[in-house]
Amino acid sequence: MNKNKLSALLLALFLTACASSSDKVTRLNASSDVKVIDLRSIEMNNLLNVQATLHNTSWSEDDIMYRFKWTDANGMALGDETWKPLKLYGDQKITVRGVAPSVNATHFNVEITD
Amino acid sequence: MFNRYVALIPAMVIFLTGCAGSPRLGSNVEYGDTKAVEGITNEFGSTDLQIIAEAMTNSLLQSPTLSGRPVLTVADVKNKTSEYIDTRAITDKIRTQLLKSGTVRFGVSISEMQSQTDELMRQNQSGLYKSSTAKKVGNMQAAQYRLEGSISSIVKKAGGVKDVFYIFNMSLIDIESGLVEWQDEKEIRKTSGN
Repeated sequence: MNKNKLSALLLALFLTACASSSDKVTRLNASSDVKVIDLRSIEMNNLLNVQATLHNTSWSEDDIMYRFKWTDANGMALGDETWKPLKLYGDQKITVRGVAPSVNATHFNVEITD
Repeated sequence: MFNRYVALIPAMVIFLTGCAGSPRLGSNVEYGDTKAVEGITNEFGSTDLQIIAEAMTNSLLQSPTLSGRPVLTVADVKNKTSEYIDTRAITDKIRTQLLKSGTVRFGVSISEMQSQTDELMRQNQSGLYKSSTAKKVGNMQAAQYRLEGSISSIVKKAGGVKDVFYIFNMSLIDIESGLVEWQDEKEIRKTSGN
């Protein structure tokens, strides 16, 4: 019984972690094999700094575009960043960083498209 | 009979709404995404301007030099490429993004100084304004740091392939000490025809 409870708890924790990570990544008709494998954020100079690690899971090179979107504590959008083109060679991992445009930014989202 | 007319009312409403004028005039022009990646030619373009401004702003915002909302001023960005590039558009964009972040303040730049002094002189010397409302001369706040930079390019052409490499440099200089407190660069490679 206790083992079942522990398993259920671990499963819940695993699912929560997955949900929170995937919630922050939006793929817009992205058919590429580029995946966000790590996402972390810290506060520097009162501004939210985000780091995303992208992995091209295929063996051929891929050109994608990405950008960060920022919202404040009330969910109000804080302007749009420009799309940034990025080339990834086969199996390459690239780390990209974004800095919030305002001290009011509390949430972020990574958008990826082909 | 009455029920048949009643049934026709929603259809009439939909029809009349459809007939209401659309705010669109003509269909030859399409408004595009201003943030989209532009790859028409490999000359300096809107995406390069946006990427450079964003990269410089992001890097500068991470610098500890900006603690305490210092006053900055914008000097020139030298265009050392063979193309015509409006470098003011780059510095204006950087200034806009930095100001919107709420972490710095900006004093008027050299190019804006003439209109600033004109306005002060007009208020103080024309005799048209109440002296209690005229803004005093000698109270302008001097900048602590100066932002300046340059953009260079290397262009190579061979066998129908054209490669353009841009490098944008920007530095933040302490005006009193002359020390470079922050500096960063952004490189862009654009190849066409391969």
